[in-house]
Amino acid sequence: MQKIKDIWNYSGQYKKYLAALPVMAALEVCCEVLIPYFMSDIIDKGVAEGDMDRLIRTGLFMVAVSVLLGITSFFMGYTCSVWASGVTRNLRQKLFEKIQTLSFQDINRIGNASIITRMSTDMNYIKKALGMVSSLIQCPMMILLTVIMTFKINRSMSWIFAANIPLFAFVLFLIIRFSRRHYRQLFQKYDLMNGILGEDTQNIRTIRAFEKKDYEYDRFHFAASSVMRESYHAEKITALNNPILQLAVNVSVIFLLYAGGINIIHGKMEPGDLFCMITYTNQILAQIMIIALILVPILSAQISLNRVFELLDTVPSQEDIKEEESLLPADGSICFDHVSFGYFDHEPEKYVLKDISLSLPSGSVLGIIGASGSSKSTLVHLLLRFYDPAEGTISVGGHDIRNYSFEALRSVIGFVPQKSILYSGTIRENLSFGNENATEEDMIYACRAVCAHDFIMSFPDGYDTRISEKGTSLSGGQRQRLCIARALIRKPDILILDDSLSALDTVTDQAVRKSLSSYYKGTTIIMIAQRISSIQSADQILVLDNGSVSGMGTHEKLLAENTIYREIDQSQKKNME
Amino acid sequence: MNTQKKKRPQNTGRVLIWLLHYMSRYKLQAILVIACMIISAVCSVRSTYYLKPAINDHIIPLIGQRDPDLTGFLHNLLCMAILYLCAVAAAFLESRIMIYISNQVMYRIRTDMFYRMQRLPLSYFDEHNIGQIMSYYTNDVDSLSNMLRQSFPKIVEGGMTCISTLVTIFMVNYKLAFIVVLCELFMICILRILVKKNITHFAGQQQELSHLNAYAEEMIDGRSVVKAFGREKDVIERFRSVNERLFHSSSKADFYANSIFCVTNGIFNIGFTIIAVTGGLMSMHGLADIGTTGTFLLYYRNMYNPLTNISKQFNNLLGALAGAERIFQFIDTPEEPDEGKTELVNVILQSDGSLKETSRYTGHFAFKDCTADKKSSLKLFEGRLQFEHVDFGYKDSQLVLHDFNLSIEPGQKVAIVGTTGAGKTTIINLLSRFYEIQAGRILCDGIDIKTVKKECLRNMIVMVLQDTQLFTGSVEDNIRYGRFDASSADIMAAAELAHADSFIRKLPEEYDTILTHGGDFLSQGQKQLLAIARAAVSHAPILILDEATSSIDTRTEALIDKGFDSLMKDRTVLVIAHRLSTIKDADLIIVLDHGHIAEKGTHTDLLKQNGIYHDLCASLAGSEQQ
Repeated sequence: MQKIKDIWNYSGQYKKYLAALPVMAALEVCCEVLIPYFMSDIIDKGVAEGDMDRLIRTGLFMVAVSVLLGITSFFMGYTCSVWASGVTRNLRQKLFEKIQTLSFQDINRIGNASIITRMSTDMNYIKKALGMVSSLIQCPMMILLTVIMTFKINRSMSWIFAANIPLFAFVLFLIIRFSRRHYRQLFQKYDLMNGILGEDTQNIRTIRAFEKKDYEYDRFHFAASSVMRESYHAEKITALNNPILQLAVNVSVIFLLYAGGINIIHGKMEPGDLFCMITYTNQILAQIMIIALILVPILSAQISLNRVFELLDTVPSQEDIKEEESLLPADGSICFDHVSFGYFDHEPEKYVLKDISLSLPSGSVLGIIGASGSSKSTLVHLLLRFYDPAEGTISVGGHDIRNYSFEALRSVIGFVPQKSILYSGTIRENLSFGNENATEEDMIYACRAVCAHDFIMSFPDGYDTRISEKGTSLSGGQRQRLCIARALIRKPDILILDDSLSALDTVTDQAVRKSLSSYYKGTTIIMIAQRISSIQSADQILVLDNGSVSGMGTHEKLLAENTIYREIDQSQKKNME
Repeated sequence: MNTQKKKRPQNTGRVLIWLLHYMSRYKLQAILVIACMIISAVCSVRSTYYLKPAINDHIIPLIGQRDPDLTGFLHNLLCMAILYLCAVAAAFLESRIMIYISNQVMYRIRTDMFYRMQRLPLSYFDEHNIGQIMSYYTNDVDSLSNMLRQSFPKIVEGGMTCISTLVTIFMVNYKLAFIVVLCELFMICILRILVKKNITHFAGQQQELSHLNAYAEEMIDGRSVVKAFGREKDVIERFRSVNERLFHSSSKADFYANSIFCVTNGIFNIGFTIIAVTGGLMSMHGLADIGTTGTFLLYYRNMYNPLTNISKQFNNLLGALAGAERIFQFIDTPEEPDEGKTELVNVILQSDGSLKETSRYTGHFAFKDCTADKKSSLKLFEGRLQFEHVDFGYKDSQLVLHDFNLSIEPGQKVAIVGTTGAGKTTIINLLSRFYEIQAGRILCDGIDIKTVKKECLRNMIVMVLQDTQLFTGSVEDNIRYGRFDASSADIMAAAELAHADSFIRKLPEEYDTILTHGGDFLSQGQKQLLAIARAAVSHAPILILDEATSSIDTRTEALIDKGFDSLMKDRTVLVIAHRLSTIKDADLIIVLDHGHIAEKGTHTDLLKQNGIYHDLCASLAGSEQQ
């Protein structure tokens, strides 16, 4: 019931379409039921009594009703398809908007793949089921009206229908009940099988290198055979549908014939009525078949709908404050005050960042260095409020970042992620993702700052060159520079470089760092790096070890005081010998 | 999703033969199915035919009789009941067997595809993307199974019902039958036109749908950028326009699909009227009777469903056959060749110097020539690798290696350096026979690796590859991938050796933490540490490290160094690296330049030569130190 209400709410501007559906369905059903009734009239009154006029008159009626039927079902088809597509569109839109409000913590918990499945596969199921709603409304009406008509034609014979329909319904219910469990399991088995498939296609080199094809074959074989078993069981049960219904109808027809025959012989009924009754029986069968056919997709859509609503009902774990209550960061000064954070839960022993304190005046440069997995990236993600710290506070421009709206906070930050994420589109489109109001000059200025202008201009289409989805046409270094330019175009107060120069060769690396500091003076820069050479000129260097601050200071100070820093330095210097 | 996919099969005959080959295992069942189809079609048509005598001969003549003789009528009804029962039983049996066959066939096709996939040359995966291969398994197999389960039986069944109905009605009253056929033909023509139109709309909808899904996926995967740049609103707006386009094309496609049903239903009802009126007129003029008219109306209705089914299923059938052709071509792709006869076995080095084959790991291996006599053919494995005049190119026209010669002594640690595209990874690929060489020989202890069974060849080499590929499963299982009989203690020792233990301990379930999607919550460096641990549990006597520490910071790398030392002990080692620390200590450094060995020697030797290596070191050192 709740679902029906939800669907009604999401119908939005198509509510009137949905409301019109039952009316049209009723009209259509009436027409459909009238036709066999007219037929019996033709046979009994027209043919049997030799009344030519009546025959033609009734015939014309029948044609008129058929045309009316065609028109109503045409409009019904239109209404239903617009409504179903409309609801799906509204749901998709809401879902996508919801995903945009979810925090990283939420998305990690639900899982990227699961969110994408809900967006695509689950929505497809829902769409399919919505298209069947018209039948779901129509079929019971049709059955009801047909039964009423049989009452009207011959009261004494309608018990055959009355007895049969609940029986049908019961058998149908049993079949669905038993097959549903199998279908649910079947979907799981399918997921499992496709999971193995995707992974094994992706990891083919590793499988070859470790010579595990037999093991993988066994794994797949097991998954495929459980799909086969489960699908055999599920279909075996649903395959009972047709024969049972057919049998029930056939039995009804024989009973009808017998009872009808006796009635006709005793003059209580006309032959045309008998044909009419038999036609009605077939009609009822057809309706029940349709119900049986649409119930499985509708039921599986119910599972999908649950999954979609589960996502829609997720309360974002981070609350954004209202635009008008938000402050605006005054400058690029940053302060971490005893910050701790853990991904999985807020148990202190699983913290990946422990008691981080640092203070950065506006316009200064901070270098961060540390082992892989020492949470360097996590630290800058906290600054962007991708996650909120478990303990402590982070301030930007003198205020706790929770006093800013997401938009206000992030508008002063230029972020360059570790993985060079570019979108399908032109270089210009990708750059203006950083700032849609950027002028041509801004764009060129930013690209010159990262030594990207020249290589962009070397492409035949210059800034309008299309980059494919995964950017295969660009080298890693070129992608990284575009990502930095995209961040710079915002003229940020704070620039975050998360190991963003790693794919550049030494010469370009140096050139980029040099021009960055001259082109963007006054910008606070946080630079995560692997190589000491990249950060040694920074105003401050933070050495992270296992999520804790191991040392903080200038290159010289750390070389003198910090063992880890010295070790890193030596490990890199050793190679110079 | 792929709209460019061919909708029609190229060579229907061959695809059908291939399908029949899969079905041939189920000959008996297939014969039963066909028999059942015939029985059910004939019985159901025949049973309707009994309606006419029931009315004409057994009811109407008896009207008004005081004490009617019902035996004929009852007999008639009994015949009908038996026929109905036969029809239902046959239909049930048919669908049950068909479900069995189709599930079995699908299972066989799937496992055959997988079996073949595991044996395809790697070049196949260079040429085809993963999505494409996946769609063979999902879309194409699904539509094939739908065809076997639904389209095929429905078309055959519908065809049989129609034919037997036509035969019957022409026998009863050819004039009225002629009208029925005209009505049906008209309906079919309209249906064909509409269905054809509908397909184009449907394709349009599919295209918009894949646009939308691609956009959503891109934005969800790249959410850190969307959020960091505060572009949620714009992204939502763009999604809205994509969504709007999908709405328009999908409501149009749905509307066309629905209208097919409406139009045919309308035409059907008009036909129904025409038959009723004509039948009535004819019976008034003595050309027909009430029973005939009534029966014809029922026949007309009975043919409606099969006919619409056939029209609907026909396109599915074509699509499925086109898919079947793709599957069939996939299964028919030639396997990577493996003509090797020599195996690698564990041996015990006996005191008298002779070798004894054993099944357990001893630390000694021997080549066993399976073509020759058993005992004499054991040859102790040492680990000497030789490339002799090797020519190779990924494409025949472009050679990456030309007349390549290299000799590696047992237990040597060899580093390969060179610029991107110099052919470093290629050498490794050739050693494991991921690709076939065009000319020359590669020898291991004097034995051409072509004569070694691929399975054994790859079992004797353990690799840490450039990008780490992990599997869904626990951390422990992933490390165990290096050697299945490794104990938990072995695995922890390997993880400690690779310095992976400390971060694994921090995961929620430690070693039992389930990794999903290739370990999506691990950093690149952590994944590489796992890959090193995975290699460390292996017993293979040859070790290959291809940029194994590229994402690991220098300090952790220095910590693993000790681990590497024990990993490299008693093994022949090939290292590809861009870090000096990994290269310097090698026994032999090979400098590759455009597929040729430009320089060769130890670190100190090469520095003295003042050549490419010297420049390379200077730039590497510069970047690392400055």
